[in-house]
Amino acid sequence: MKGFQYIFMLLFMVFAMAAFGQGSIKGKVIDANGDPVIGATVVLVQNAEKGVVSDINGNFMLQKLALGTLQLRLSSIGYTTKIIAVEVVAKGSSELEILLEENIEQLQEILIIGKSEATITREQAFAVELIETKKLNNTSNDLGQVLKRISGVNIRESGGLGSNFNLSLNGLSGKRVRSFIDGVPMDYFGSSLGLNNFPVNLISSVEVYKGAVPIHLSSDALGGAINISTTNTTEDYLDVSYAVSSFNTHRAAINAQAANKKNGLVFKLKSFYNHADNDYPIDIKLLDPNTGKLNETSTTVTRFHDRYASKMVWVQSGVVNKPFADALLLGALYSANHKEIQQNPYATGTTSFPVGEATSEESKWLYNLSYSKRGLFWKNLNFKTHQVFIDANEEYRDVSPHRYDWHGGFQANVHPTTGELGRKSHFFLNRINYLSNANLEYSINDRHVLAVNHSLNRLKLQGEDAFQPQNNTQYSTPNTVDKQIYAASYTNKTPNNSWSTTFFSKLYQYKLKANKPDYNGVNSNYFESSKDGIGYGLASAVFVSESIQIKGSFERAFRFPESEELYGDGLNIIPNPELKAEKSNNFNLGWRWNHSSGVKTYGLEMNFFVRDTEDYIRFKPQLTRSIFINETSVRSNGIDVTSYLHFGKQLQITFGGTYTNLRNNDENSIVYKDRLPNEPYLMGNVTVSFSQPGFLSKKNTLTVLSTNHYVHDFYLKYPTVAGQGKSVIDAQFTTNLELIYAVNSGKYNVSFLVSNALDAVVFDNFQQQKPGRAFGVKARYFISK
Amino acid sequence: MKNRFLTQLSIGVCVVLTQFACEKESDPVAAPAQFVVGMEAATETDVLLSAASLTEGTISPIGQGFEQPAWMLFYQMGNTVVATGYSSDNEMTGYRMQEDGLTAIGSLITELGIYAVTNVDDNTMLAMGVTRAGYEDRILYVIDKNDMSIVSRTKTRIDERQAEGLVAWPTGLKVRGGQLFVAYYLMGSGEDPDIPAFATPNSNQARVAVYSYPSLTFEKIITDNRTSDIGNYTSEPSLIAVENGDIYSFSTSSLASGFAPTPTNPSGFLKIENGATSFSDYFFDFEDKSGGYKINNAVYAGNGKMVVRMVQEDTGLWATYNPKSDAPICSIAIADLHTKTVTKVAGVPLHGGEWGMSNLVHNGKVYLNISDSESAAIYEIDPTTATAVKGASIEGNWVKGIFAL
Repeated sequence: MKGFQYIFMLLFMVFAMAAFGQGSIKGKVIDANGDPVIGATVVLVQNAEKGVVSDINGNFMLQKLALGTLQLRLSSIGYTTKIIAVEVVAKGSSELEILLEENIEQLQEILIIGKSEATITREQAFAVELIETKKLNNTSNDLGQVLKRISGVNIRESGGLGSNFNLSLNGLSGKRVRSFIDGVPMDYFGSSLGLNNFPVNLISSVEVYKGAVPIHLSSDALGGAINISTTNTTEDYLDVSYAVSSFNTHRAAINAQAANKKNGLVFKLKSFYNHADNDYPIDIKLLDPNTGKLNETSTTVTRFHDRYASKMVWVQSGVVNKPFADALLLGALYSANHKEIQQNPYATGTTSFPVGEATSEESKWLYNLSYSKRGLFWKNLNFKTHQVFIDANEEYRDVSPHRYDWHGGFQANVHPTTGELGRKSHFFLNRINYLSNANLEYSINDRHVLAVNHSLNRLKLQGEDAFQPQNNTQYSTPNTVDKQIYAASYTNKTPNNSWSTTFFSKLYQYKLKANKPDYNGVNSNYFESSKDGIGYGLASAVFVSESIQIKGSFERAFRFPESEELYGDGLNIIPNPELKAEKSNNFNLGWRWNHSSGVKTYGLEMNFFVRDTEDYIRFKPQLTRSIFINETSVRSNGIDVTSYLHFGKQLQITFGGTYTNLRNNDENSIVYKDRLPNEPYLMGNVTVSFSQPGFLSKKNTLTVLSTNHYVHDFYLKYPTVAGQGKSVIDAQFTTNLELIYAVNSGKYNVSFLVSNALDAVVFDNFQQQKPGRAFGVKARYFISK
Repeated sequence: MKNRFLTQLSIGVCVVLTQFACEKESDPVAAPAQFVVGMEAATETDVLLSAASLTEGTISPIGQGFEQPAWMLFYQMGNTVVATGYSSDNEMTGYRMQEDGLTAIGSLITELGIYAVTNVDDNTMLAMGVTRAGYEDRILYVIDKNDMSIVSRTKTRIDERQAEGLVAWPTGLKVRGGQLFVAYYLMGSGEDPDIPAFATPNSNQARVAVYSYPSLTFEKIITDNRTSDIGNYTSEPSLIAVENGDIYSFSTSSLASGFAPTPTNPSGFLKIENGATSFSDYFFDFEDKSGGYKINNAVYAGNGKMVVRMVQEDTGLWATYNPKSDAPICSIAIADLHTKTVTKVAGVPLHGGEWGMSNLVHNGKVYLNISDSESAAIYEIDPTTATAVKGASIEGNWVKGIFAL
């Protein structure tokens, strides 16, 4: 761990390269325990533009300093700011070790690593929750499980790894909540790369925006956004992990970077491989094949055709910290997945005739170019852009003539000309996507920041089906969607940083061309639609005292339907190109408070939200005829609460809860004021973690973690329609237990996970049982220099 | 003091719990009702509920009736109302009126979707399962209504013509004496690229397959060239027995009823006389006698009177399958099978068609669903006077079945 001291993350681009002197300062920022303080800002008091941020080992280096005595201001969220005087000597560097005292009262302020201060300022006003995944890198959980701990977030899965996955944020779900990887909308990475399979190790932080979203996240996210930042430093590192768990689940991930400090060349590699058999036991009432009756009692069977494998390799190469670019990276990504289908994913309930052979797969090439420069032409002008081209091929195959049963056996050639899920299908779909985003940001001074953003998203779908004329007609000629969003924002903050407000406006443009097959599926009508809309809003945050911050936002937002909503999936979701755009007025108001006495810290955070949505797009699951429809008016309001209690660093208890009133708001409807069907509305979680530093050895830490999650029962259909035999998704309570042992300050890590430790029988979707108790172990090796 | 507090607390908890319980489950139907209605609520959820009256008031699914798992078809099989549809599987549930109201008596699962049924006696019904594409066995299920279980299965292709790319789609089953009559139409299997599924290139003929009953062995196919294929997709039973045991069939020859290309033979009624296993000389050219209307569906009201849903403007494929139509094309007439006359029923507005025609023949009157994009109601038709009165309003999209138990 000694001897490598380089510059890693530059916060302020030192654009004026003029050298005033030849001295430099090297140092290390540590806390009271001797642990490195990561991301501490180190700036010259005399010249605030000259500054760096400490790396993940707490190290920093300032170069080209004038000789003589300088004052350094060291600050970091959660620590008391410190000013020290340093003597800069010629030829050589001063080596320092600086101790920062923890300032617990400030701990809840947000830390966003690796962004310019203007960006930080701009984002401060938004209701954002940040998960730093550094502590989570050793966890055997996937990202979905990690996100679940945030109040307001709920995740629904139909089964094990690779199964259908739907995230809701403050009561809005599906495509309303958008996910991004480094600012690129995640949907375009396809099914092989999603929140449910993205390895935690490849991530440096996750920002969760509840409500209004900053304009650089260039999408029409109507219900909030999640942005995953991958590791972005200039050091060499290698992070390798391998996890194995029940149901033959294997996850391997490599995250590596090699950087040449002299010429600024960097090479990044991110790769993963996931595999799961998902052959977990479920309890079902077996069908008597003669009488057609279901048994009175349940039988335990194992899922036998639910295997899932996905892989990804993403290489990026380019230069960093050059006069013409902070970063200029070119990348190529290949990903693929293969999924067996056990039953129709949109069935309500478990089928008596499981699917034994149908599969879906996807392979994809993605090319990306990203460029960023702080101080482009003028020192206060920052520019950032990414261009992404995606060529994805999807294939669905449902051609088996056999009829399977839950013991895995089958009757041969029972339906020689139809498939297992419906009409025979062997469907190929090509998806070409071009995404572009450009962002300009200008700081007039510390108090005023202007930004403009343009994003473009072009989609072209074309395909063929060996059996189904409907698909051939729908996809024989290209179906296209073009979306563009122009956005501008202005941010103002008070000199002491206590009050920050952002005003923004967006112009949305949307153009669609689609084929519309008739009933026979042979003839086609052409459908064209062109729409635009103007959205606007503001977000504001103010510290009313040192320990209380209030945040509020309002947004008039649009969301144009996405590819899957418009064109279906060729298999189970039928197209509805006439879907209207969602329009929504969103309000958020929240406050956070924290207090500490001695080693104890308490905090409480509450957010209230209202979403008034017109033409709400709702998914109607109905087997092979599932469809997205518009609901005239829907209103969601609710509250999410987070509270925590920390006894020093050792014992931390966190509670999160959400109540969402998501109701039909169409006065002419018979279900006016009724809860929207099939949406959970009350959920909570409790996380207890206990850490023992110096366990067995001084540099080793043992952490025991218990995560408990509850979702209240909810109706599959509208609650007030019909009174008997109503379908209910039962309440779910699950507990995960985890033991993490970090050896040699985290160089080697091993963790053990028991998920669903109480072996609760849980269903997220109507009668579709999720895995019971499962065990996992994960080993991780991390080295950087 | 402490006890009193606990009492108060427990009362409070009870009140709260009761309120939650109320929100969750509404009270079961209080008094047994004679009428039962299957309907599609405005939320597109199907509900089966008891109705106090068919002639007045509003029938509402709010807090009432059995939630259905999917889009269902409803049939009355003697003392049992049967709902069939597909959720995770093809499911059939029987309901009977019991002491505490309408009760689900049991369910069964069939490997194929059910598109035609007939009641045989107090214990037994028949159902025909079909695949929606391809050349595959149809299955005739013999079902015990008392416990809703399958007694036996008989596989048949009815009338498969691979050389033409056509398969048989059943539209009506009827057991009479020692025979089971199966009316069907020929439609594209989707296997021949030139003949899409559901296309009807060869429908200028009426066909009925005859099976011996109860052995269910295939005997023969009888045909008649004067009209077109009998019945239509999910039609009302297209074979209708009258008082003397004669069986009448209806043929639509109609694009709006799902036939494309449109058959050129006229829409009309044929007859299989009691004791015969072939069509008689009888033909009622409905299209001619009505002045250009085509039958969409028909139900028998007694005394030789058929209540017919009909269309004049036959220009849109599947156009009758639209109970929420904003351009309704259906009207109602009385067809007298003896005099071969057609009398349009006054007092029924142009309305959208259905998958079949929900109806109840009760005390000499016929109750029908009359709906369009604006509203839905039950109309009471008097077949003797060819008049109609608007009855109960429906809080929902349309009525899918009207029954008296």
